[in-house]
Amino acid sequence: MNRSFSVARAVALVGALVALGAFFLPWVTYTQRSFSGADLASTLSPALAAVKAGGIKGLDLGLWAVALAAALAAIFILASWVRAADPREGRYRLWAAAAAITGLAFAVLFLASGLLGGTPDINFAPAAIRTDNAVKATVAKAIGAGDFVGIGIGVYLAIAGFAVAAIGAILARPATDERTWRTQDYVLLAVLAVVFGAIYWAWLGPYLGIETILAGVSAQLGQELLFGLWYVSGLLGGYIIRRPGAAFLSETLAAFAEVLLGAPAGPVLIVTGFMQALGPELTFAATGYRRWGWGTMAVAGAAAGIVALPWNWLRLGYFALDPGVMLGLFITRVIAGILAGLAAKAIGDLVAATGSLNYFALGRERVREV
Amino acid sequence: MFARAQSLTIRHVGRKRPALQDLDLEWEEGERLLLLGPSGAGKSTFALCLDGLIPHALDAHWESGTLTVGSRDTRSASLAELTQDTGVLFQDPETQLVMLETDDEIAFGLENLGLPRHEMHERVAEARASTGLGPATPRRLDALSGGTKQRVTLASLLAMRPRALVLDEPTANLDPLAAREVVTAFAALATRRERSFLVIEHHLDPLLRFIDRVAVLGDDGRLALLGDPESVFMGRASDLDRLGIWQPELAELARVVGAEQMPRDVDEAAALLIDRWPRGAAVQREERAPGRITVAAHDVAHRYRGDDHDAVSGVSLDLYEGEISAIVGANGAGKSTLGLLLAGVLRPSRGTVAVSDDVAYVFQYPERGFLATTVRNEVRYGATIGRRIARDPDALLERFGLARLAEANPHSLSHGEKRRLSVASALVTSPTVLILDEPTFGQDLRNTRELVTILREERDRGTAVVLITHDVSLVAEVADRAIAMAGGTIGFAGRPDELFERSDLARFGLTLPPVASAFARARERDQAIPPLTGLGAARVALAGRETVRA
Amino acid sequence: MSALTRRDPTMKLAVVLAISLLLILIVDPVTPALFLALAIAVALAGGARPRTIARALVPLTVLGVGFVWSNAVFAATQGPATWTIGPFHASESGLRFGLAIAIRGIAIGILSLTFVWSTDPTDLVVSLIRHTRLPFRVGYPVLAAYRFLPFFTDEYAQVRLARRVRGARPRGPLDRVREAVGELVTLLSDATRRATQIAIAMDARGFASATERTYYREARLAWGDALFIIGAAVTTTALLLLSAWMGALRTVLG
Repeated sequence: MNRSFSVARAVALVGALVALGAFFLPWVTYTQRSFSGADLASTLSPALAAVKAGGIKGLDLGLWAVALAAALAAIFILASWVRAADPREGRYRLWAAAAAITGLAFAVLFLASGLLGGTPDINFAPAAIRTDNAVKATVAKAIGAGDFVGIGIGVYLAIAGFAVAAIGAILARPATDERTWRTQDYVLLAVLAVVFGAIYWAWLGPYLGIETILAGVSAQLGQELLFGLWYVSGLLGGYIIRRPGAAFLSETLAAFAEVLLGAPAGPVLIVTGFMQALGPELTFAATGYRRWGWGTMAVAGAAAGIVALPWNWLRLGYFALDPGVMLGLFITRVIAGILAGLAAKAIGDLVAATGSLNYFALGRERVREV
Repeated sequence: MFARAQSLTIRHVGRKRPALQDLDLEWEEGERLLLLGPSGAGKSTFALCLDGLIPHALDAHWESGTLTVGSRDTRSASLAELTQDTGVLFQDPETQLVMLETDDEIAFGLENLGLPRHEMHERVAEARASTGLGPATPRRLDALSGGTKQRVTLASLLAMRPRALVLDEPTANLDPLAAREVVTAFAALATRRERSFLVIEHHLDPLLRFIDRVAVLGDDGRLALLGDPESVFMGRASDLDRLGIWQPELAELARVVGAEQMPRDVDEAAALLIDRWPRGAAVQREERAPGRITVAAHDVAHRYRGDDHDAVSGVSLDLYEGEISAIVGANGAGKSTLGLLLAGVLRPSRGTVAVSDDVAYVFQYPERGFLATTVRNEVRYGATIGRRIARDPDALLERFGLARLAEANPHSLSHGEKRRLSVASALVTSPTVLILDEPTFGQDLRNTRELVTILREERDRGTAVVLITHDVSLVAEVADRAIAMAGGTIGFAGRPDELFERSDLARFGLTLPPVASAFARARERDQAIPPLTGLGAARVALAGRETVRA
Repeated sequence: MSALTRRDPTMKLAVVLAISLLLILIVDPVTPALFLALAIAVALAGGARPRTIARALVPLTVLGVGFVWSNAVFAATQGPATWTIGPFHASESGLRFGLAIAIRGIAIGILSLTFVWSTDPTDLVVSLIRHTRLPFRVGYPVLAAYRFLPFFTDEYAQVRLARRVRGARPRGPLDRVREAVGELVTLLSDATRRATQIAIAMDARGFASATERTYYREARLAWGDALFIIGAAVTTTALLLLSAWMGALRTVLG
């Protein structure tokens, strides 16, 4: 137990550091930026002053939030490692919370991008590298010349970082569970995955129809609302089984089942499932897998959408969209997520009432003897 | 001694009453033990305990007592050891298969044991041989019949070379022909006496030759009777009756003709009849005038979307008031489809069905029809959508033994209770046409009797009752008319006793009920013996009453 | 479907995943079109019938149209609005980007379907367990659940029928939603019961306590798999070079 515990902490620390490092990458491609501390400090006030000036400035603020959260997470982890105390519930929860905050920071990222205006510049021509420093030029070439590209990759690394931090936080949970995972837990998740995979697959038809109609009017807003449906399987799986990894497994398996059934998006859908699972898993981890009320589920649902946003951002090409539209998209996503969370709890409760879940965590809490 | 239970008391999660209560039972090494009892989870619970699944894989309240299997206490032994020692075959052929292809399935347990591949191949071949799964067996599990699926699961258990096998109602979900497949496989294993057997079954006649001892559990989960088959079935028959437990029909037949020795198979029963049946006692059939037609189907055919053949074709059938019709046939012959067409739920692809608008349909899997969240509301559902209530819902609940569950969620009931609930819900509006799909699936004697009484009442009130069933004994007992289907068409329509005289019953997936078999066998040697088909008819004939409803 | 079916499923999955991820980075319409041609060629070579492929293309194309539209009209304006349709302005660069995403989607779709058509599920799960450290406790339940899919769809049809038989007729959208929820709950209730039974069946044969597990099916990698990977890499590179040579290649990197 102790060994895996330090592994977990190491993992979480690495994740936090990666997130911190990722913060710097986008700056590389900005014109007239450098790595020196003085420059960074001085950019703070100009950044604030130039808030309304448009451009990528809004993103700067978002990125500061990421760095701050990552730094906090790293501090927590380092501090507890130095203290070398026994694992205690509260501490692990803090790590998980820190990781979750990091995730939420992305919400700030995109909100800022949308609110503060400016359009990311998309250069379709083989780009001129926009840095003057020779050293930076090499790095910039390697990473890319478009502004938003650096941000894109930085975003990815930050996602990876906080995901790793979250996994570390999850792993850190001491196995003081009354039971470990049983075969029936795995089978239930597999069955839920297949049922939802089939529902999603069948729903794809009408969804395509609705989406095409709506796309004409509201771009992908309609699509966003319907996305909410896809979050339900992870939320429901987590709600029923109530263990670390349940939401994650549930959503990913549902995506896998969809792929097996021939979903057009292909195996990449599994990555999407993975991303959509992180939000709920983080939320549940942050509550220590203890609180399962309407509030938690609503937050978990919203988190599903928010945390998946960067992935969708890249995959569906949202970076090409107008920021005003992006903002609308974001708000719709949050609403869809909240509805998904509430729906998952409602469905879970109804099924538990039938007594079929008596052998699972959700059922045990509300067994009615007959 | 292979296993011993001492004061074993187990209560399931979500239940107030224990399934097993203070059970004291010994199962000897190499013994073939039959475990009987009314519907309720006691017998299956015991099977799950023997395997170690309770307490290691399933939650249950182990209230008291111990269970020792193979000199290990099941609570402290490891699940791996226990499952290797004892294999359990359950009743649903579908939910026991976990892979996609036959050989993978048989090798599943061996994979878990960590055997090297060449040994797996050997054992798979061995297991296939001992369950009769030849090279012609299809590879994909989906393509197998119910009986073959059960044999595959059995092979999968045997491949692990267990010291004991438990069979928990292995034929309950199968049609008669498939059931015979499984029983034959069991018989082959039981005669070789290589291991201990515990069998839980309702259809007892084919098993009588292969049983050494009988244990009977009561309603409360306690051991009520124990003894060898002859003394239990012949000597304690009234106790069994009181407990509401199925008995072998041949034993009952023997008692009815006043014999003391229990016949162990159809031949012995036939010999008994030839010795003891009073020649001249027979049953007169009275032709009844048919009542009004309530549902008329004319040249009806139906094909499901996506199928390449008709599920039902060229069927013309009328349902009469005041008559119980039984639709029989093998799995896939189109019985359920025909039932849905007659109910007006499915619209035929071709042909016409003039339906009554007052039809009640009881599904084979009752939970599919549940619409309410409490048992009471479920029964009253007809009223909530504006139908006329003709019978008192609470009285019906009382009658079916569901009154104490009135506030429970319908899905949380046991299988038998759910079925009774769906029948009660159907009866509440006293429909003109009542269609029941497999109403006696896995039901014990008491519930079946209650159901039969109710069906007769409904018939006498003028309802047209349709039973879709595999249960040939039920057909012999209660049906006025039998309609046999094969391949989507009607192959026979007429009186049940006429059906049983046919030589092509296998075409309909049917076998003769044991009593009918015995009479038929006896008739081969002595024409004076009447072709009776069931115990009811036999009793009536002996009582000298001359007419029976036709 | 002979040669393709013999290839190790994990390798096939990896190739499809890699190409999909690669295509995500590509923002011109021509390169994905080349890959689409490749995908269809592979599908045909693998033994898929042209009619099946054509039928699969329909929903993919429909989805693609939506992407084209929203990107053409709602993209951040790159250049002058080239066309005006009512109140909407479409830009050429937005249109190209939309096309790129649409064609990419279709190409990935066909590749993915070819993967599914040419792979046996049991082989896939065993291969994943052997090669990617997928826990067998996760893999086998998925296989078992997969087998039950037709039962669930059947069940669903029966549940709907049953409601009609009982006389439940939805009036209005709210009723429909309530009905759909009721159906879903019944379906899930049944599914969880089956799940418990399947788990019992698995544990009864030692699944839960399996520590040193062996496998009946082989999942060995053969030379053919190495050739397959190399072939895929070579073809992909060739197509990229072709597109660059044509002057059409554009990635997110510029």
